[in-house]
Amino acid sequence: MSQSAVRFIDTLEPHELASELRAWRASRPRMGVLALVAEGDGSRVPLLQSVCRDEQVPLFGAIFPALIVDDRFSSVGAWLLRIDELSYAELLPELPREAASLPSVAGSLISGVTPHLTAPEATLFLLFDAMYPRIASLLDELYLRLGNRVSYVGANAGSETFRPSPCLFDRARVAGGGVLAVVLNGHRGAVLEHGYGVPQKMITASATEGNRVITIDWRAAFDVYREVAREQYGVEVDRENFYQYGVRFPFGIVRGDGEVVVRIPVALEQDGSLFCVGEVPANSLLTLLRAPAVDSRLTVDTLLSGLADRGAQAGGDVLLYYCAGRRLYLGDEAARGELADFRRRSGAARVAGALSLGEIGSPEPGAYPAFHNAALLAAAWGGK
Amino acid sequence: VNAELITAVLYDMALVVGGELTLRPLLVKTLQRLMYHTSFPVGMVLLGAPRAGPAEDEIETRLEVAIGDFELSAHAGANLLLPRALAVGPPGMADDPALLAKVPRSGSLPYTTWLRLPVEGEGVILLLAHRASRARLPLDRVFQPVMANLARAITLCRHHEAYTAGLVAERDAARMGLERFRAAIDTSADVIAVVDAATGRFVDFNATAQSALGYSRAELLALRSSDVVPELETAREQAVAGLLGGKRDVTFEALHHRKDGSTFPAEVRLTAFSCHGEQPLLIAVSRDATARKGIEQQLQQSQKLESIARLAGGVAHDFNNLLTAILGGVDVLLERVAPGDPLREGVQEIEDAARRAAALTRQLLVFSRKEVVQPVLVDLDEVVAGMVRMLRRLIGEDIELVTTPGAALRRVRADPGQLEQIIVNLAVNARDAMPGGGRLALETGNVAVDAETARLHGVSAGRYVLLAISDTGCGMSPETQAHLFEPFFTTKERGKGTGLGLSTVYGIVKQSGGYIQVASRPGRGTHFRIYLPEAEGDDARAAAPAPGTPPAAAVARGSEAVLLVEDDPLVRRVTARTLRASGYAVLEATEGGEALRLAREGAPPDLLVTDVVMPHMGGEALVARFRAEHPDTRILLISGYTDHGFDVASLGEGVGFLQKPFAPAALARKVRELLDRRGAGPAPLRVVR
Repeated sequence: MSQSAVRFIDTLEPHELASELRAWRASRPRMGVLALVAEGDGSRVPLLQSVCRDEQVPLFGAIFPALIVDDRFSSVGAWLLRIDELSYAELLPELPREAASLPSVAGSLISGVTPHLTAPEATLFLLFDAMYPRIASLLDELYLRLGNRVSYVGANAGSETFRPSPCLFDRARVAGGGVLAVVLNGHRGAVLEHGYGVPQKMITASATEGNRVITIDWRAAFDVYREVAREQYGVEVDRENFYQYGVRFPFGIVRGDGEVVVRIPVALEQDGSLFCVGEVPANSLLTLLRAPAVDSRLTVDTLLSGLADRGAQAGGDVLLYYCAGRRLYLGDEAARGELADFRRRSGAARVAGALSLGEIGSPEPGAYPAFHNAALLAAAWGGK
Repeated sequence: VNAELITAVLYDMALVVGGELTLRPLLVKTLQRLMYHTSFPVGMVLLGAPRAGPAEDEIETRLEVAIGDFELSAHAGANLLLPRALAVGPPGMADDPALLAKVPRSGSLPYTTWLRLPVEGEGVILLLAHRASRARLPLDRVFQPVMANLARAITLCRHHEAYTAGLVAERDAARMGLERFRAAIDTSADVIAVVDAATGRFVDFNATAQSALGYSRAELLALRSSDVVPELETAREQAVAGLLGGKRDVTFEALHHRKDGSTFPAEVRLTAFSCHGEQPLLIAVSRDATARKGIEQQLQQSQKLESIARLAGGVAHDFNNLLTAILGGVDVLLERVAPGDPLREGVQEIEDAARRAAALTRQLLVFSRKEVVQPVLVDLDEVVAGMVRMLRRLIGEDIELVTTPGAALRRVRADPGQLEQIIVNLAVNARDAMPGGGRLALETGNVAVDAETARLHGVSAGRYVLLAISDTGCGMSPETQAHLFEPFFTTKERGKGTGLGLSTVYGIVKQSGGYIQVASRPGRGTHFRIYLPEAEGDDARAAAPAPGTPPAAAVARGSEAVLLVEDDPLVRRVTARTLRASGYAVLEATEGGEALRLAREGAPPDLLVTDVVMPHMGGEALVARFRAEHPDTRILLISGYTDHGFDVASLGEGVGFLQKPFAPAALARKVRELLDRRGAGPAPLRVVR
């Protein structure tokens, strides 16, 4: 029986699940399980919950479009990630969506988290339902009050279709519209990389509402998007092909120091407004980004360097989130090539992860955490 | 691109800086946005003029806000020691890990880079990072306009906060004042309501209105005021007319109708007013008059009984004089009409009638509280216990007698015979009210009477002893209760009662300094509660017969000189004759002055016999002056009643008292007894008002 901290279960058979959980618990009686479930097996979450209830193992997890299993993508199965000493994990479903609620939501999270921060270094691991529209603002609010007491790591769960569906769960509930927060004491955070450069043409998000860009340069957002795509990249975007091009030409929110935060538009409304994965603050300076020419080696270099900065050791297990949009524009084969390269060069025993719908983290340790799209996020998981 | 980026950043920052009205959100949001645009993970706002620190290269300044570093944030709101070279100076950005090593820090990563943005006149914003900035823009200069705006925004926020705090304080004070006023109005025992003058509907009212009328707030708001007080309909019009005519108030008394159909009388004061030029409103203040009317009724009853008592006392006094003369005359006749003489029977009938009349007169005197009583310390429980056998015979076997003695009952000062009379009178009434049997309960106890109750009953507040006598009989109507204590008022059939029983009870209780309460409803029995003041101190005087009182003289005759003072000629003549017939030398005077003159002119008499109530100089004054001039003369006071309460004992040794009407033999015995007494004073007698 494996004593690795990660275990992929492709069939989700109760007997096999129970057997694995018993083996883990025998050596780590205070352990808990973080489960990443592929959307194709989302209906089997109740079975997982039932087994964990029977085995009295704390369970928290989320449903993703697909899973990363070492160097391939799987649309079925589940990753079980062992948390050796589970000190705090809580599912906060159906968070209020108005901006005024952020202080109380953050307060509720912080009051739960703070008493359980027992190690000098800790990671606050957050799994959001991708449909929750205030992720970036909530991160700001958390950082305002917790600062660098924790490293902020997380990803968005849900369906690649961006249709609302319950995607977060614990041992008793499957819920949506909220966040799952887990404290990982002793964990040193994750490295995030998106690889986009800033082009010359700037536009302004003149009216936004959470995830929705209503106007750009005081005109309907889609009209401007189409013009800029034509002028800058020579592509004709219309309502029919928008879903193909959105992922290839996402928005970049440009900051004063030239850093960019990616926002992939995933839906076009009737009024011409564009729905993105993640908030776009009003009056943000935007650019239309072109999906970077993939330099898999450079990407993997960045990730490996970041992991090393955070104390990851070769031969250990690695948690990897890979943006669903990146796979869309790279194609499945190229994406799998990146996974294989990453696994080989990292020397990881297992690469466990999921296709994500947004990523939380920072490129360097100690940097201001941000909510990104189109990024890769890697973190060490468990000991060697 | 740089120009476009700078414009966009400045525009964004301007929106943040200009969008806040309070200081802390302004500082937090500005700092967050600066960190966002610079990618510096740690920032702080230092406000106020920096002071010199302990070391020359340090300054001390107030850390207003810190974001990003948990350790640094812990200093927020307090003073912070920082390197002078970091916190003081023009806008700038530099890599200087050594300088930043002196900044409080959490985590293992050291700070390497700082960005300083002075806020003119207010302080400085410092941003820290673990790596050199990759920004292409000169960030320290890009944000200078933002800092200038921030300085102005800080000033505006401070003004706004002060202004808002003032407004809030004013609003809170006004609200507190309103709440205090509302609480006062709600606490008022009066019903206070605001009524729309045009429609007559309730606009607002106090809590007392709801509780007194039995309606919920919603119900009252749906009513017209005239639904509750019909007279308000007319009064409303008068009040509105008064408002226009300059007259402010309309006052009247009206029945108020409760939700349950019951009513209560109240005095209503209706005042019209207009607020902010709106249509006129009325404020109605209704004071429940039930208690006042009760007190007025009680006062009227008390005054009526008092006047009856005064009349009865006066009649009894004169009647006693007549009876004294009649009994004296009868005595003379009986001495002269031989036994067997046909006239003798007639004379004896006159004597019997006179004695019955004397008994009736005595009851009237008791009612009018003019009877001379001999109070002693009495244990009411002992009195009740001593009467149980007699009461059982009195009320018969069909009525259960229950006595409940009070625990550690305190004593009262009263005439035991009178107390027995109270119990008997009430027991007889109870028996007559329970012809088919029932229950008669006697209960005693110690009680305290408060000032309000005492004032209501014209007694002193303090400790009292309660005698409660209750029956389960037919009870009394309110009309009967209104006349209950009046002499000769009776509900019994003719010949069954004198109508003096309860008036006697009333008189005795009042004479004892107490009061009486009655509760009764037809068919529900009657409850008398008699409150007698607790005797002060442990005075056992006169609890037993006075020591040294000699037995009645066997032969009540003598030859001593007696000066008789009596304004009533009939009584004087009969008394003088009786005394002379007993062998005494009698001088007669019609009033006090004459008596003093006669005593000075001749030898002082051995005995002064004087009426108490006389014109010019009453018996009490005469005794005082007479004793001063003739201290060896014995004195006998005779009276049907006295206008002034006095204790005969206080007049000194050798003074006696004889109640009118008296028989000649009683007078002879009393005179002899006084003349024979040597060295012993009379028993203490007291007339109590």
